[in-house]
Amino acid sequence: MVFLVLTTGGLAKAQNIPLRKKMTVRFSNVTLEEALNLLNADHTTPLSFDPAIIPSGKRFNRSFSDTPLALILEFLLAETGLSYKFLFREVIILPMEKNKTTLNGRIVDAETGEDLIGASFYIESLKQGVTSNNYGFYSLTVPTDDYEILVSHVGYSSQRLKFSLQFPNHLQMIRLQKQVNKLEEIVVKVVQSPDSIAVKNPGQSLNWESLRNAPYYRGEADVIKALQMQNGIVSLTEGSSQMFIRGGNKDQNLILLDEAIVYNPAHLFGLTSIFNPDALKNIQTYTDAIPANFGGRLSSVIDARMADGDDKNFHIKGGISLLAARVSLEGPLVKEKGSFLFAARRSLNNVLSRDLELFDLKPAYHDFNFKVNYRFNTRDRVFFSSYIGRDKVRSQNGYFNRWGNQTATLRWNHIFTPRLFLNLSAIYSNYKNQLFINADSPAGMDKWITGIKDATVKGDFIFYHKPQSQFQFGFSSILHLFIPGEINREDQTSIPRARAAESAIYASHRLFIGEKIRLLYGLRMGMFQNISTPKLFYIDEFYEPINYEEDVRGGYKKFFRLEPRFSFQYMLQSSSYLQFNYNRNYQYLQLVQNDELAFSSLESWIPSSPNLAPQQSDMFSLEYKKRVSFGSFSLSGYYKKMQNQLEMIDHAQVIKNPAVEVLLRPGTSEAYGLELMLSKDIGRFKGSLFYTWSRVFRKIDQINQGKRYPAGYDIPHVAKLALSYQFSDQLSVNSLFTYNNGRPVTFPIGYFLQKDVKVPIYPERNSARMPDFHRLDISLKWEPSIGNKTKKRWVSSFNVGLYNVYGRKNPLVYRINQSNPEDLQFDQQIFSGRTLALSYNFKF
Amino acid sequence: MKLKADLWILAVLLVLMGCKKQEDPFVPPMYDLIVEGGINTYSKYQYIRLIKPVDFANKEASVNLNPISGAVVSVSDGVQDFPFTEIPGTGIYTAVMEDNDKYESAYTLTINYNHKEYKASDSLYQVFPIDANYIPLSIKKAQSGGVRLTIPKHTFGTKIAQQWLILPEGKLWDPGKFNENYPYSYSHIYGTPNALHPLIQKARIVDSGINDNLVIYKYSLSGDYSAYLYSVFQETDWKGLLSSVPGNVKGNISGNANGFFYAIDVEVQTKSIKELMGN
Repeated sequence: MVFLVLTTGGLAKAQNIPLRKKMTVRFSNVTLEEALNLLNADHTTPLSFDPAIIPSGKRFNRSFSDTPLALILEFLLAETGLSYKFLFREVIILPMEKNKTTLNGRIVDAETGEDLIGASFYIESLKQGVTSNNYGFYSLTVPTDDYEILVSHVGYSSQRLKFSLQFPNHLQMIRLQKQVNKLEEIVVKVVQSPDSIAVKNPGQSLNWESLRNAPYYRGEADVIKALQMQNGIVSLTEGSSQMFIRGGNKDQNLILLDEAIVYNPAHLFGLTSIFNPDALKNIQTYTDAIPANFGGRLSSVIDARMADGDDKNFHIKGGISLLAARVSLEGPLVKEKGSFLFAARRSLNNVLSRDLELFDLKPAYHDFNFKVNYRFNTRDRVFFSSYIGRDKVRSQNGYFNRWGNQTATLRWNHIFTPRLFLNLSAIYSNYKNQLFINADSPAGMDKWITGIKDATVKGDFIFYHKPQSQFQFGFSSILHLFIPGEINREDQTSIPRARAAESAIYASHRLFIGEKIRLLYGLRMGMFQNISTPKLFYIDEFYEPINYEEDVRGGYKKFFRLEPRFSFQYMLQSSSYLQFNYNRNYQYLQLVQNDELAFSSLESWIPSSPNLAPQQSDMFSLEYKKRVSFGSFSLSGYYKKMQNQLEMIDHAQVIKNPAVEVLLRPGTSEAYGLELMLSKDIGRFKGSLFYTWSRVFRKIDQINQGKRYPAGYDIPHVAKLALSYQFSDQLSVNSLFTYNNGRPVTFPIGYFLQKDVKVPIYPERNSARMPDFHRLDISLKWEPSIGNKTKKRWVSSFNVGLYNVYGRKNPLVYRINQSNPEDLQFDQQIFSGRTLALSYNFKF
Repeated sequence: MKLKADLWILAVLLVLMGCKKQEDPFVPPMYDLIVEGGINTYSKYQYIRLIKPVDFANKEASVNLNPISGAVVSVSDGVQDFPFTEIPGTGIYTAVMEDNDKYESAYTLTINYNHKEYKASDSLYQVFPIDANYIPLSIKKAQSGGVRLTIPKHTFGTKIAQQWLILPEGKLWDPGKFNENYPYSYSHIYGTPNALHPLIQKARIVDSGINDNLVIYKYSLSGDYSAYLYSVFQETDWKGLLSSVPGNVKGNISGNANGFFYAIDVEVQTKSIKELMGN
């Protein structure tokens, strides 16, 4: 029986705000749904609700007289788990939001206190998680409840933690123990983490701990050589430190060391890189889904982070190989509050053998890494890191070549709220190269100096909005000083210095829609201002300089560019996903080089200017990844179109040529490819197979008669097979087999004589190929007494290996033999035959 | 039906996208003739050699088998044309030019061969006199009592581009001997072509007596000729691990021909090794 009296007293004084509307109503043994319908019986109260969420058990008996609607609703909805909102002139009944708690803190190595980057923090019951950022920080806001949390990271034992969320904001440091490869503990199983297939952070993290055991030339473990073992990264020239990534040129990779740009990553012309393996913590590579916080290069980002140093105990570690010796010291500044790391390295090749086989010279290098960090409180932490490296080579006839990078990074981490993280950085980078160009001159030697100096300020904010939603935004501003080439004295043949400001603001949003869809989209707004004041010239249609010294504003030119970034991931199953990426990138500086091979010698960087438009790329890629039994499988394809690509004219001479821009010709480049990866991990055996099919073409004005031609780094087929087997706790073997097509080469079709010298006649550019390249390297690692790594004071390992096991003579370069004018002969030079690799590493 | 129509449209679009405009084919350079030689002030006898390039596709071809005969060759000094005649069967054309030192003037070569005309021009500049303080060689006393001369083939970063020839007394330079393989040296205005080149630099080592004399020839080079020679060496002497991308060297001959027609001033001095060591 329902008895209802309803009057709308005061209707004449109708309220504009329905929640304040006074009503007289009587509920007599009605359900909640009926009561809500009664409130809207005269259709004057805009009230809506979903009947499915309305509980039906409870009945109401009560009268209200001239009572505001809000009070009536609060009475009705009490203890129902429902609430109301006034939205769009309507009162909506909806489920009450639970109290939220933000879990946040850092995930660190339990032994050393090092931040772990990209570690997973996952709540299985909610199917929600987050990964730690570049400083080990995580934040996840969830309804207040008790949870079991799975924390995991590659190379570390996973932990299950129970959180009882009694307090509003939980700051928690989570310590993960390193995995120890004790064979009896290895259990062959598929890791069934429900989220493990998904890409946690954009990009790919290099498992350096594992890759250190790969076979290396002369035993010197090297990060860039390890990157070159990955899919889609072409070294082009054996022994080089250059990387050609997904159709990009060697100057189109943004190489960062603690956020500082490294302009030449090579030591010894590329035989090793500037990255000291003992001083590194994490290497992240981005080859397709480049996040909006990175910019300035077209093809990739290599983000290397220095280790912070152990904040509990002092350690000395080091090692020696046939190329270099290194030692480092790390320890706490204040226990568990701050730490430092100092690492030094020096080449040994010049000590052991005087000359490298490859170059007839006496090369040597040394470098230093230094880092210190201190935590003032739970919210503030400061880092300072620095790198200084120097290479020098000297010929017997007195020519010198010296080059080196210097970087310094000062960073401040601040946690504004448990959900808002800031990193603010001030960065300095300086690359300088000095070449003695006239050792035979009686007037004294001149140095040709090239370089680039950067001063950068950048800020990156991460706002952990919801578990499904994360915002990142920030700014960066770089002041560049370009020294494209100058004589060490007043000279008209120097290339004018240039100054430029490269600024950007960006924002990106990471959004999970349901359990299937993950979106990452963002926009980077970049501005490049060439603020050079030296004399300006324009280039006419014949590439001749005109109007010298007529414009007092020198090289002033401003470019404003928008760079959208988009990534869409669809989880097909819990073990597979499909991901589409689109990136637009701009690059405002270019390396003026025309080297046939990828050995690095003389770097001359110049900015975009009135004569040189910024380089542009549009890249589309699609990736399918699936976890299969005991491993994973991925297939990805990409297409990249690049505009304003530059190529130097034939026989361009950069040194002592002030009008260097006149030597460059613009054009386009087009790249596409497919990459396949299969990895298997069964107990003692681990294996990875990479295969890439790709093509890169260029079309440059006046080069190759203006016709399209394969780029010098177009390698269609590349296959790499990495295998490892662990015989015992102490003994393991690693191997790497590489096969690829030879690089494109412009092979002479004839020659003509001039002064009894055979001058080659070339056909279409890159119309032939060097012979196919293949090589097998093997390395054996022995750890004398592994014991319990975490407790043992002295840990050491020996590596012995063989580079180019079957002595394949892979030619680097051909040239016409000039010694015999009657017969046609070609000389070839190879990088290395069968070469012994030895190294010893220790830590205590 | 709708789906089928859409698929057809898609297929047509894909076909159209796949059809690219056919480019004109690349024309491989296989030159009609190669020019070497020119005008020198050392002698009134002038020599120009015309030969065919060597084509790897033609296994029969070799340098000596490809002299070009039957060409009509002449050089103008701006006032007068001088016809050159071939030394039969050699491809070397010669003429006598009494008035051969028109400095700051252009000399122009004209070749008519196989109904085609080829032209080239180069300017004659006076050679900078030989200065005993700067001759590109170093001398060291040897244990045997003699001396060891080190003569670098290339020096870099000089103010003026020049060509040198340093011979022991008794040997002479003959501009008509194209196959003599004279050990010229070069001073380049540009710096080293790359960081590594100086490290593999060619140098000529000569052992000599301390009382011997050297004949030193110094040649002027026009800007175009020195740039041409620099390109030639980039493709030959300096070809190596740090070389630039290969490219065809182009001289100053018009049409489908290559090589260089030069005009050079020559100075010769004979100096004793003792004198040179004193400097």
